[in-house]
Amino acid sequence: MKAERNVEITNATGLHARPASKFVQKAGTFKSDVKIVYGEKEVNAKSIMGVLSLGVSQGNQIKIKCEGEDAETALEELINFLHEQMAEE
Amino acid sequence: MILDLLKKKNIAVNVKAADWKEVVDETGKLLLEAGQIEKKYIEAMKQSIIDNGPYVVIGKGIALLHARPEDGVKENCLSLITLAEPVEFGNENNDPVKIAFAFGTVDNEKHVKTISELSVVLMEDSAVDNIAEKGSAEEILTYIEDILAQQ
Repeated sequence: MKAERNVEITNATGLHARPASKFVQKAGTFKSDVKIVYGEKEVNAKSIMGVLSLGVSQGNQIKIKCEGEDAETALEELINFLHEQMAEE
Repeated sequence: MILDLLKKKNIAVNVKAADWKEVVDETGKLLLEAGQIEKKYIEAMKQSIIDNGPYVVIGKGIALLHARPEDGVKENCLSLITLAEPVEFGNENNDPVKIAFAFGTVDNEKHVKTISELSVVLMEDSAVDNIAEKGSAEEILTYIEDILAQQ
């Protein structure tokens, strides 16, 4: 199964440091491969350094791609998680 | 960008540290002595680990220490120490730490670019071990320059 969706990063600090590490932890709980695409770069969403290397900041659009048996659930939960994280800041 | 911030004065090699708090002290000291942070920033970096756990250990053997801009940062800055002996931070995936960076930022936008560039360097094969083995700040800077030149 494959699932993907775009998300806009709306918080001031972007996708790095603590939000990134929490996101990576969450991504690691799914069996599916999870990738983040930003511009021409695509990285493993289960690696903090990979996510940090994207340099995503406020107002940027990223795409989350999940592939595996729990792809739909993973995508749904990760998008919700991102929205909750961004709302906290 | 990281080379604009990471100067010889910001690097120390083969530093002795008994525990993670001493790693924060030693890495932060380089920024303090350069006049780039206030002393309270070092305590804030420790508090962040106490409050949020060892997420700062972002990859195998690497700690990326930081607190918030309002915790006492005077200018954008970055320091690096290599450890004489690896130190446990309590991060089950990425311990023990062999090299530690500390950064301070007054400007989120630039900071994202800096960390992005630093991550690209650290994702190179064996980058951590290569940096940890260097005997001087000059050698580390040359190594980082070479990686960035290939990008």
